[in-house]
Amino acid sequence: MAEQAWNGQTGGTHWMQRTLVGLIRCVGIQAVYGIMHLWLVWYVFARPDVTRGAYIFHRRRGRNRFLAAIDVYRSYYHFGKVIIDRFAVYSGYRFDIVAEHTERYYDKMNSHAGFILLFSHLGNSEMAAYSMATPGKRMNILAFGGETPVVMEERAKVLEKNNIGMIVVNPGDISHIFEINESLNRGEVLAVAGDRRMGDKTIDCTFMGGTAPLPAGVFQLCAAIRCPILLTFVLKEPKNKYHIYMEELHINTTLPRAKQAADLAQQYASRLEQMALEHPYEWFNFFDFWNQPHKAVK
Amino acid sequence: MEQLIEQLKQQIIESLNFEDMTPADIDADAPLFGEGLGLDSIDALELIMLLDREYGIKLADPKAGKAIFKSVRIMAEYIQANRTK
Repeated sequence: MAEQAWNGQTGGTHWMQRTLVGLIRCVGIQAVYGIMHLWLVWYVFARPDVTRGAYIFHRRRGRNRFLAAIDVYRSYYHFGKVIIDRFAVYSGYRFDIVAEHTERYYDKMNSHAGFILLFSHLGNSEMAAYSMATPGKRMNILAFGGETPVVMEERAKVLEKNNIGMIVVNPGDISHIFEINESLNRGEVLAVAGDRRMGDKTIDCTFMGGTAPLPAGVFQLCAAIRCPILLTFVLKEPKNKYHIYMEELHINTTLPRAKQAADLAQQYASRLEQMALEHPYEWFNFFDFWNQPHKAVK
Repeated sequence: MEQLIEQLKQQIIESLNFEDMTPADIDADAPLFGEGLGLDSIDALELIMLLDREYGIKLADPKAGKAIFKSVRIMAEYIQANRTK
């Protein structure tokens, strides 16, 4: 039976998230990383569903049961750091960003045409948006409407300062499609994750020795709009650094139209697999990625 | 109007890749989304691009757009009143 998919929310109550922002301001980010261990030990046992999701990933990459269990904790520690970093940005903290192969990105940022920035939940993609946004070209992040209000509110405030907006996807509504089309027509950037469900339809992709359902809508959108697509990974490094990797993905126009989205999804899945294996503790899809409820499209 | 409806049905079939359908299979008064044709948000994007490409109509307002996509007949009426090519 398929497992319950990740609900797309950043954890914690309104009060906890506000406290985190205050704590970072008062004691500094390194101290908050240390304090986080207390919370992590609790979290491992408090959220067995999430722990199981993280464990499945490490078992999939060939770790034995003991090492996979240790790796779950290491994944949580990295995830905790990334969450803290996100709130640190909200409280004004800045990180060192190293970026590779960004020429295409800046070429596109300087052109009048719109393009899609395809990201994932490997690492901390939001950091790229903060560091690489430019005043001359607006970026819109396609966001799942189910986030907690405080995350949406804090995120919206910081994003807006960086000329970044949010287009919210609400299940059963097509309003976001008009906004997406209009923003790309205006020559803006659309940033969208390729590894989280948006709606029921999925494309089955080969991923880490199994078949994983990726969101069909995202890749169908890319294939339909036919604008340039930049795949982006933003990975955390020691000493408050982040490393940005970018490359262009291409729609294979020699394929029948119905197959183009599936081909693009597989290109994405293959690259995601490679990066996830190189940076396993940055994998933050803490659910059974291979067994999500889905309706595969052909 | 009937000629425009038939043309629009054919364009919808081609844009949305409904290989097994003919214009006669589409009820001009049936809802395009939800029940009826049961289109989804990506299909909506194809329809937005179809109106722009074929009729020079740019739909930016979600509320107005959703009203236009109620049925093929309503789309055709909107096209007739607003087309620029």
